[in-house]
Amino acid sequence: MRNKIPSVKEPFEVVPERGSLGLLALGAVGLMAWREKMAEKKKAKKDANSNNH
Amino acid sequence: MDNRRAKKVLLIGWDAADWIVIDKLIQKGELPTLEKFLSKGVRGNIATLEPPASPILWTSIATGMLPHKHGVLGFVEPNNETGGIRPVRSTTRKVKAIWNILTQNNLKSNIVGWWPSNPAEPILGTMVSNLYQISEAGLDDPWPMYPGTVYPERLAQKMEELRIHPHELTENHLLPFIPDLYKIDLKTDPLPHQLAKMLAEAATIQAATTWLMENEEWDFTAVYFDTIDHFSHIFMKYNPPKMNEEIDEKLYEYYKYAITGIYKFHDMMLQRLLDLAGEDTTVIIMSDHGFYSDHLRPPYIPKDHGGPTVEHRPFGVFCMSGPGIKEGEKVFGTTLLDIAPTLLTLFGLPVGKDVDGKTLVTAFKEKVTPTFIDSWENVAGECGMHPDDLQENPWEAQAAMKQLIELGYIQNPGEEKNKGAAQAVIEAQLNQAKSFLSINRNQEAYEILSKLYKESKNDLRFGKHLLVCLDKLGKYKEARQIIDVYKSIFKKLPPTLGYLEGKILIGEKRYNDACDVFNELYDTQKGNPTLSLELAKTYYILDKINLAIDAFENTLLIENENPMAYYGLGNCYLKLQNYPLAIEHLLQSIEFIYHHPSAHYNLGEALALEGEKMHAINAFNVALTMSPGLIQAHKWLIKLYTEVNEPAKALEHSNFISTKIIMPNIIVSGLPRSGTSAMMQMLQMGGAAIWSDGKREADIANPKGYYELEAVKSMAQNADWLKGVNGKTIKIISHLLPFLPPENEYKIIFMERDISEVMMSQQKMLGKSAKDGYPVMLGKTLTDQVAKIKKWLERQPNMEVMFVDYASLIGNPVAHAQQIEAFTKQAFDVDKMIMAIDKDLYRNNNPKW
Repeated sequence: MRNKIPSVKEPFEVVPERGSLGLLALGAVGLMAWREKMAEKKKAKKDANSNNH
Repeated sequence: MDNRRAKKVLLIGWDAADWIVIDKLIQKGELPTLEKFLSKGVRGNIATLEPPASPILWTSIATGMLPHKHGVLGFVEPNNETGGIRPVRSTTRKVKAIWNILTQNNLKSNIVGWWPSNPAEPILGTMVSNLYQISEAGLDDPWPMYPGTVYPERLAQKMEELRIHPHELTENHLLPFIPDLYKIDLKTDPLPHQLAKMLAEAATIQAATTWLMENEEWDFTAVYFDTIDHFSHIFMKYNPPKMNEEIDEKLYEYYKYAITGIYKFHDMMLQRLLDLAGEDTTVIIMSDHGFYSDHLRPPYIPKDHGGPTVEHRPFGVFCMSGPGIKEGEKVFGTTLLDIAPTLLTLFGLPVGKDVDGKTLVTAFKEKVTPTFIDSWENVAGECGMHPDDLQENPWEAQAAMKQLIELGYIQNPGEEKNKGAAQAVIEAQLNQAKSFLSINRNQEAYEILSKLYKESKNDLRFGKHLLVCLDKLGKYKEARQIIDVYKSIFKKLPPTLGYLEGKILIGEKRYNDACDVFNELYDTQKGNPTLSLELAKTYYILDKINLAIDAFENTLLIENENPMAYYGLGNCYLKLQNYPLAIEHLLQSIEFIYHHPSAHYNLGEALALEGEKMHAINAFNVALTMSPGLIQAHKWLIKLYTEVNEPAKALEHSNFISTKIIMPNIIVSGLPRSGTSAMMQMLQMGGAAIWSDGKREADIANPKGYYELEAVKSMAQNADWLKGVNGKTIKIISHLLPFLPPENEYKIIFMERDISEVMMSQQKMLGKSAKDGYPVMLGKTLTDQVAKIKKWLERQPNMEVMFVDYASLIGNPVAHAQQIEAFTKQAFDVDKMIMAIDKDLYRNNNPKW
């Protein structure tokens, strides 16, 4: 977590991304959905980076 | 299982969940799922047990048994394989848990996170242990599951996948708890990381539970979340309103939403669990204790083991909903021990007579009559407990290991580890003693505590609990000695010891001195409800009723849910003949603690005196369901039923008294030559009706007579003759007490005397003298016999015992005569009782050996 939470220099969005906590509360199904979403996001970011380059 | 009342049962454990916090959040609309759930079921307080340590409590919940029976006595235990300590394990539990009984009855369970459940037990169904969710490794480091985490093994991989590492969480998960997260310097403030870890652990438990509910067949699912407890210990001090000026303003602003956030998260998780359970499942939500969230938060947390438990409120949360369960009603008198029997009844299974709890029959719409068996422990067949070679009593094993180390068979694991293991044993002993104290097995508590105190006088916990124990045992002389020891150590007694001195002073009948002590302490600790209550009770004893009322009212200003303050006020107003106010306060007391026969009895009195005859009849009847031998309640009912023209019912109670209560009401007992005859004479002089046949004549050993009955000697063979005794006083030596008919109630004055004096006196009676030698073995036997009979007496609900030290009686007959009058609730001629004591006789009967 120490590496993941941004420092003051890198502020959070004040309004949380909708549904993050809700998905955890859903249990196994929500966790899987959230992990999938995170993986897609990561992939999209990676693709965007490679397109920029 | 013809009587099965639940198709399926879901038991959700929220450690430390508290109604005060919940109700405030419900009022604000923050917990919609729980609010809806409560409207469809019953709710109530659930009383915790002593000591309020989670592994002990959750094992009592799962077994229905007290700690000395189930064997789990703390958070950690000695690790007899490697030395040092380890978290307490499932193999330490000595008895079957609910899931073992269900296994024996072919019912499938999912058990997740229960404390302690590692190694997971091979039950019918699945078990994911309490070590499952714990994360210590970094995100990219290996994070293997602890051995024994999952049963059956086929699910291990799936469960491993469902674990959420705290580093997986993002700011989006944390912002609802800490909106100002971006302002916090994470290098210096560890709290956001701790919060993330706890949140990930809760989500992990939820993920495993929901997956098992969806994918495995089950009759019973039990899941335990420790997150509310952990959050409360860290963040409750920041929960609004700010209670303590010493709390850092910045930290308060950062973390003031944490508690609300975690309750809301549990409400969200609850919705998913209820959806998966379905409408036809009976659901119980409960906590093992509450958590002080308001001005009653303790000002400081003791640094010793178990110190944080001072933040635990003694009442937790209980609510239940499902087919056949009442809706929107309250249940009273629930304890943690009642959960396992209630679950058995829901599944149509009999309850073991050896459990300490009861089925919550008042929660059901229709009348429920639980069935019983002697014990589930005797029922053979596979129950899913670990095999005998894995079952372990770590406390005994620790002693064996120590001996092996000393003998050189096992390498010494090192000083630190040994110290840790030894401390774990001491903590377990202290916890066992606390448990005994809470159920009035005071002699057993005394044996443990006096040993701990002797070994370590510096640990104030031992002295404090020993003082509590001595107060309960009425051993004020010994208690005074301990107080004196502490007075020689401290210039001024610490507050807890001061409070205990006050209690001892009450025991010594030094009420005014007790009042001074409590007043002085209260001046330094304004707002302490315990001190305020003790002060009020002392004023009540001193018959200073107006002062008592002020102090009881003050207690309620501090703690508006204090049932004993309401009870005290009820009694004050009863004494002042203000019956409406007495009724109002007694009713409020009963609302908090329903199982309190004296409160119902006093309510009956107040109602009867106010002319509310039918309500009074109800109150007395409730008191009698809780305490059937309350003679005064029977007498009131005879009067009231006669007045309302129900002679048949009056006759029932009249018959009860004449058939059941025709028994000696006072028994003088003890070893032969312990002063029983002196006590009999004292009672006779005071006006008691003595039953003695006078066959044994006075002699030089007992010049004033023996006050004996020939028939007593053959009580072991025949005790029928006791039926002829009505309201009289009879002498029965201690060895014969177990032959008293158990269906009746007795007040026993038990004489105690120094064993060497008893023996000397017995030897003298037998015509022996010092030259015949001192019978050492006999002395030990007599001591053991007295200890044994005392233990037995503690277990007899129908016997109330007052111990009287013979030497003390001779030295201070006035105090003892007053105590006897109070104990027997009879009006004696105290002056004449005192005259019966002949100090010369004591000296003659007490020759030097």
